[in-house]
Amino acid sequence: MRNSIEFYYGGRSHRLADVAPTDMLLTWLRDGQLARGTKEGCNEGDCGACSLVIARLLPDGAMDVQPVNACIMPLANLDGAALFTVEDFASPDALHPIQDAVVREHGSQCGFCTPGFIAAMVAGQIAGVPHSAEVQIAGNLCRCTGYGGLIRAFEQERDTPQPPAFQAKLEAAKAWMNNAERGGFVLETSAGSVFAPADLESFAALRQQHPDALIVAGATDVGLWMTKGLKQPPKLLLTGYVTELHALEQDEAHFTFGAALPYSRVGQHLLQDYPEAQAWFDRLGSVQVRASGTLGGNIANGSPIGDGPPLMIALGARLRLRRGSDTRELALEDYFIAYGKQDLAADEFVEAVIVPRRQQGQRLMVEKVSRRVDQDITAVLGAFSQSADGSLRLAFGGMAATPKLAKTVMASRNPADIGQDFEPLSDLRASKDYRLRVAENLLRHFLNAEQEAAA
Amino acid sequence: MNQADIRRAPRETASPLGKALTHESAALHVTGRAIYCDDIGEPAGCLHAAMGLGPAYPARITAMDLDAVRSAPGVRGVYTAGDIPGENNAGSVIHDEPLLATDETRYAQQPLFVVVADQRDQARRAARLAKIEAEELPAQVTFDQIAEAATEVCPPLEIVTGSPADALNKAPHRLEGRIDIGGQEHMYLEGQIALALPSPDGLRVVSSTQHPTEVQEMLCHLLELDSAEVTVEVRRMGGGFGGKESQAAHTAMMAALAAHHLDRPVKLRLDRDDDMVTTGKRHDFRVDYALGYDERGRILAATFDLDARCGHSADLSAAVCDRAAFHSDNAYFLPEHRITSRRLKSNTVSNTAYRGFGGPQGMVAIERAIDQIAAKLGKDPLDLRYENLYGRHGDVAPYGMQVQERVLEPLMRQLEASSDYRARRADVDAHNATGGRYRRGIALTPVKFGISFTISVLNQAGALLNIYKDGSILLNHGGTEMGQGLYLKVAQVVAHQFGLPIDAVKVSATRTDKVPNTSPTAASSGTDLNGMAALAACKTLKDRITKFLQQKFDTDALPIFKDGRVYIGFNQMSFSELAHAAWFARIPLSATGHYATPGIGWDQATGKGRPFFYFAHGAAVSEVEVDTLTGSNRVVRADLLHDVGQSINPALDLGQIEGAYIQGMGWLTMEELVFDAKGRLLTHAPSTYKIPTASDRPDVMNIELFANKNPEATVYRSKAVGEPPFMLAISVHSALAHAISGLGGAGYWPELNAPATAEEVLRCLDLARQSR
Repeated sequence: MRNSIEFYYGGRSHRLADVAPTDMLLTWLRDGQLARGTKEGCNEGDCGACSLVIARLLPDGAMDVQPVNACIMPLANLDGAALFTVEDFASPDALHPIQDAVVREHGSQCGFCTPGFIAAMVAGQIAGVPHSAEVQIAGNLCRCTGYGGLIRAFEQERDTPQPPAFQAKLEAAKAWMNNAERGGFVLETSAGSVFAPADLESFAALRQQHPDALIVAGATDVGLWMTKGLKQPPKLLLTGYVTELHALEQDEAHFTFGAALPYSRVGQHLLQDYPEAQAWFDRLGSVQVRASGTLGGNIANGSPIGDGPPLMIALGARLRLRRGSDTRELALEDYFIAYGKQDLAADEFVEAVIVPRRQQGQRLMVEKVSRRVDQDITAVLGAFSQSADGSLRLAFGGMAATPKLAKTVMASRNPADIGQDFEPLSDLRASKDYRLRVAENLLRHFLNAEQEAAA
Repeated sequence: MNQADIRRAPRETASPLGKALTHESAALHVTGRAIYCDDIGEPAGCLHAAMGLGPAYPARITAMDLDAVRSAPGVRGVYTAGDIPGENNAGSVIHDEPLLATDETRYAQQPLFVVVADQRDQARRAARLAKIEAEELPAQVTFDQIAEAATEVCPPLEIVTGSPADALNKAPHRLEGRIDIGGQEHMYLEGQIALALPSPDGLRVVSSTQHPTEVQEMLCHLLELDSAEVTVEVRRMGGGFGGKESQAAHTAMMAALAAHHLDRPVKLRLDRDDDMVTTGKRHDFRVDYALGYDERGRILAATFDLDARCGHSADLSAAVCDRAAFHSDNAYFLPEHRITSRRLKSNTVSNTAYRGFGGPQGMVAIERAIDQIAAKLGKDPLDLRYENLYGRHGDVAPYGMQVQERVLEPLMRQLEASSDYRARRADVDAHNATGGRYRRGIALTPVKFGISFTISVLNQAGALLNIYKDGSILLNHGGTEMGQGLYLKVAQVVAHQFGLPIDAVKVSATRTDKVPNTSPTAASSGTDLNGMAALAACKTLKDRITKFLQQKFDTDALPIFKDGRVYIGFNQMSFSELAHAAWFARIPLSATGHYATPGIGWDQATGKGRPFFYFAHGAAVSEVEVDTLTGSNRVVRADLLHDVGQSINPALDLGQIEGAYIQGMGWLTMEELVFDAKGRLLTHAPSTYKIPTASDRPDVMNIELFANKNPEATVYRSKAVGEPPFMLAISVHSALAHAISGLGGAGYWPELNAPATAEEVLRCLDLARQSR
């Protein structure tokens, strides 16, 4: 077991042992390396000003290139990765094509958000993303421009090959990653411990040994507990290095998604069966959030407004929980007991999410209602599935203390019964009445379509 | 500079004037090499500060135990109001706002102390260790509460012409209504920040501020220093939008207070949540209106009662509310009218300048009213807008100023045609008639925005121009750069004056020790004022150079500055040769320039006079789509046509127009400030306060500049552009109401408030459905 982490940045390897649980990448860059091109805008992963490019090797040897928010990225999550910041893209003689296009298209005004946009766009260009510029930069806020120059810059250059100087940096990073030491590590500092096992057995053992440790996956939520809540958890247990938790299996009946798989990889598979969920996926956080955030984390966390659980419940997903060498499975809706309370023992953890494959004749509708289209927290999320035999699974997020099925409506098929299933809260995102009204309208729309289809 | 010089359009193709040059820092922005305050390498010994906040409700503070804060790891000092050597005041106009609250906090989470530590997170952690005992005080937060209490932070304004009450009674038709208009968080991407650098030679503060001179003054009052001992500097801000006009001083003062006591450099960079909770926002308004009109829809009389939620102190509320009142006519002639403005006190953070400065809130009500009248008369609201424009039936604005320029009608006609407005409106109505989940709406609304600070003294600027003997030029002026491209525009003016390429003019950071007594970079006035001041400096230097050349070559010919060379008679030389020769002849090559806008002023008692030098105009067509199940909505197409006079830089102007429209769209749709009953801001971070992202941009966006020249002698006949296009977004709100209106019966128009969030739209959709 190593006692340090190592990652690639600025053309060389950095080996760090003195890494506290709360140490974030952005602070290390700006204050440690004095690399101040990457900015802090919100310190909670919502504005994208701190975006940079992270490359990791996938199990098949391919390089996965994603933008991430450095402000809430624990340093401990970087072992074996390579990172590139806005300072890396240009050569001494020429701007990177994306940078050049942003200048040409007047895509910057105050310029403070610009490095983050550049990083998000370069990452999208390297990865060859299939989606629009708007999706690629949905996690980046600009308050000066109307995004026109930024969108044009990406659309013009998205297929341009990387310039030789930067391509050489990418290749050097890949070579470094190929040779990087792998396996688990433990970081012990005066501020706390970070446990990062590499296999499921060790993870389960550590979980039993340290039931008080905070399990951390992509840290898109936990990161805020530290940067905003100023929490200083003494022990972290990382899922990100556990091979088995990255399992991605599919057979004729099920997908099995390891709990540590980021949304970006879950989506690739899930959407093949359920293309109706494309908008759900594109609106789930942002590219940055989907690159770090995991389906397992979204579920384990128990939030009533996570975007993952309602769809998973509608699809009839099951959870595999592990405690030592014992595993059990339960329907996802049964996992959520009450606000902040899940059917999970202190030394137990979420190992995988098992999602049924699409059935013949299955009908699916997923609707998210939020203040803003992209990168916003759900006010109401409805996920409705109807099997060929007509049976319904109608799941909601944002309507109760947990993600939940609308069981009364499922039985009565009467949207007006929604008030018997839910008594939602009024909060800053929406009022109780609005939530009920929207839920009823969406159900009526889904069930009317059923009747129209029948007629 | 004589009038003929100003009027002449730039002709030389090599001149940078009028060219779509990219922002002077664009290459630095994209490579991360543009230095903002937080990027400056900290001097040795630099400490970091954080604010200690009060209870989550207005309170009487009975005890404040800061021992745990003082003994927290890394802490070097903790400062309360009692540690302020001078005046504990952060109120820029009226001294009614303590920098640090003492025995009473007037709004939730008002700052009580400053803590300084070796590391920023140490200071942030320590700030939360205070033990504060407090008695909760009643909170006046909502409009119903503050309107009933009717306590004002500064005197009201009333503008009356004719006998509006009689005229309303006599009018064939009468309309009454109310609209609530929400506030707005600036959400500049770079939060408030200052770096205070104390030294026996004087205090230097790097501040992200739109108003260095005011920060300097506030520091002087705080620390009992003279202005000559304090230098405030800003090279660039990561966005301002008005949020760093008065509000930047608070951060700078707290940093300087700590630096003063510790004699060490201190940086205070507010965490985003602290920034949003403790700095002012756009004022929310409630407007009650009554209009009398005839069969054609011509407005005969109007009253507008504008209540503003100002927060706990005055800040800039007087001027904001004056401007709101001055814009309640928008572009329309109101023969007889009464406009009142109350500046209501609330137990919330003190509201402040925000792009448009009350103008947007002022205009929204009349645009709603015109839509309502059109619905009642069964007309296209655009025809009513034409009918009521200044010039048709009268041209005197409520404040008594004649509206002379006839730009809006041709501008709107051009836009009506280029956007295919009429056919698209028919399409929209046809689409809506078929029913379905998604309804559409379309609207064309104009903007007429008065240019000049309504506080007339602020309409002045200074510039400093140095020609070095190698021929390079250093330009400095009192305006600040927040992304709008001011530095570039003024440099374009100077380069043009000397016939030089843009690269020959270097712009340096705005500093109070270079150009003193400056006005804020606000009110869209940056280029108007600083460009003219720079022109004045150019004239001084060119006069000296002319005299020198005439003597040298014994001629009375005038020199021509062109393509990097100077021509006089049959002689010529490069600009650098000229500079060296002039230096050698001991000609002073440094000059200041000053400008004061001529002919403006108004009477606060009557609200009459000439508050504005001129007007900027524009119009927009927005088309929206509304989801009738959820109220979710989006803009599918926008066509903008805007009057910037003769553009100094079309790329920068188009950028301002596009950005302002999107920001205005955010204000009127998704951006909602939510306070709890005690006045605590619940939407205190970008996770909960949502500004538009890329996908909120309309699918189709056509933006053009209207061909025009400023009839007033502004810098190269250009017009101010920062704020006016913000109000083009009112067309979005109007279009949303149009989309909803179809669900009601004939003549129905929804009383849609702002912001038109999905929830607000669904509320109106349901009311429309019920109205049938």
